[in-house]
Amino acid sequence: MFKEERKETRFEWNMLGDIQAGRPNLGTTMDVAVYRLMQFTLRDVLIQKYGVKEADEIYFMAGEHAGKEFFSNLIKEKTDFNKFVLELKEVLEKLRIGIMRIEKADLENMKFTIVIAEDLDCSGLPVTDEEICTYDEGFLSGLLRSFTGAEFDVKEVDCWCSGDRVCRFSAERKD
Amino acid sequence: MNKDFKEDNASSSFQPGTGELVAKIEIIDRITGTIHNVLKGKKLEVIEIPADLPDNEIRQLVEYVNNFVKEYNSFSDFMYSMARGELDYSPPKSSMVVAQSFKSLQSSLRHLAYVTQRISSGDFEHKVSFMGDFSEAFNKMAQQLKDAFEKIEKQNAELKNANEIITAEKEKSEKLLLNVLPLKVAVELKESGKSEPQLFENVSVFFSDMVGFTALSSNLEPRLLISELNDIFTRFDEIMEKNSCERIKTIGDAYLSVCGMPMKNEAHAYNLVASASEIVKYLNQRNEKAEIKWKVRIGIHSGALVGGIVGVKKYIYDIFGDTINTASRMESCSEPMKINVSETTYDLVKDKFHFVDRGEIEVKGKGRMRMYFMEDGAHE
Ligand SMILES: [Zn+2]
Repeated sequence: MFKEERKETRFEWNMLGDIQAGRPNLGTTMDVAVYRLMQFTLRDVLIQKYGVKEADEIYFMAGEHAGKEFFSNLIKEKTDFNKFVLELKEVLEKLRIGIMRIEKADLENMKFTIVIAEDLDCSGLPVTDEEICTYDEGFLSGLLRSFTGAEFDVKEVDCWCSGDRVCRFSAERKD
Repeated sequence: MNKDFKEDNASSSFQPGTGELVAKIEIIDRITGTIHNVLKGKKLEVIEIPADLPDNEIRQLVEYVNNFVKEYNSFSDFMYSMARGELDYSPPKSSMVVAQSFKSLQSSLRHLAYVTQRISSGDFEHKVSFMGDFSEAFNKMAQQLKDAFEKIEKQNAELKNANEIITAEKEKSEKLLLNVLPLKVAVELKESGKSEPQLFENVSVFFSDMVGFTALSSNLEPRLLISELNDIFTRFDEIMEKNSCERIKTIGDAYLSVCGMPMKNEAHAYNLVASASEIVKYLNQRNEKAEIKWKVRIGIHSGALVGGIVGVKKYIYDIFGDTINTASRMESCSEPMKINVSETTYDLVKDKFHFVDRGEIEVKGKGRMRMYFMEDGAHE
């Protein structure tokens, strides 16, 4: 199930398991630092093995995959964009992933500016002049693609790591 | 870490030194001048670095001041544009806390603008979270808007409902008006609020009376009596309408109708005599089964009359003139289940029906008048 060789996805939501049952004492949440420990050690090894560009691509792909699964398993609104945004914002807050705010939504041209404050991945990291939330870029891309059926260019334009207080993503439909 | 975290790449990295250093007064003055301009709200200018200035702590200080001047200037432009409400302005890259704070403020304002737009298009579920006092004030406003909107929607629905009732009632009253008034008159009254009396030259008038009504009515229960008359007159109405005739009124057991007004009708006499004939036939048929056998006496006369609305609150369309009196006399001179017509009417329809000449008969207040029984309806 988890360790089979594969050329295409074998991921299923139930692979996440019954956490409630499995951790009756420790519960379903843990420290964010532990999540980051995994994020950045994995990134470290991927860069060593494949280089920065490949590592970024892997992160983006994984994020996009997660976005799609997230959409089909946790989001109910599948038609009205404004309601979708509303629900997404609530779910992201409830799961403590981040505080999503829409700065701009041009539905006609499918152009968005989305801000994630207190982002799980990067808020509080040392400032390095880098935008490092590649996983989030993929994640948003997967969500938007699932909702609209169109492909999106998602780019993190501001990040905690680049000196901002929030992560800001510009998303635009690919022509 | 994940990528190479680059060092702070300001143009010159801060290098603390030791010992003493001599600086030119001019350079110190330029630095003081720059700080002075910051405090006085003046525009800052980059300090020109003399070519011969050695690469020491003084040069480092001037370079730092210049970096500050550049960031400060672009930050000022940004702040100024935001103060004017231009939320589209691209914020400058700067790590200064003030610049970062204003960038956050811009982000919050942009988000507020977005949520406001959503709310203004009726999406009241949108809320602002984790934005301090903003959130509470804004969400409260949104909730109140939602409540107010729902209240208005509710009122609108009630209003619509009330409107529908009024429309239905209006239709009902118009229909009622039509029952009381001839169509042409009802339309005139509806459109202009009044209807002038009008002379009609060629009209036939029908009068009928139930034979022995007074005697019968004293023996019958009133409710049954009304139900009987209602049944009979409803059929009379149908027959009249079918033949383009119009009932004017009923008075007790008397039934008054006309043809040739308010719409002109060349065949007024024919239509009315034909109706009379059908009425007699109908009653004969009815009497075969009904318990109470009604007999009718009919008189018809043709001539001129005046029609108009009488009354202000209760509209009654009525007709006036000697023609009606004569028609009434024709009826009183008629016999049970017979149709008695005047000579005028006879002349108009003698080719269409069979008549029996009754000769001249004395009519109260009118002298002698020639009358005819229509043969068709004269069987008992
Ligand atoms: Zn980020």
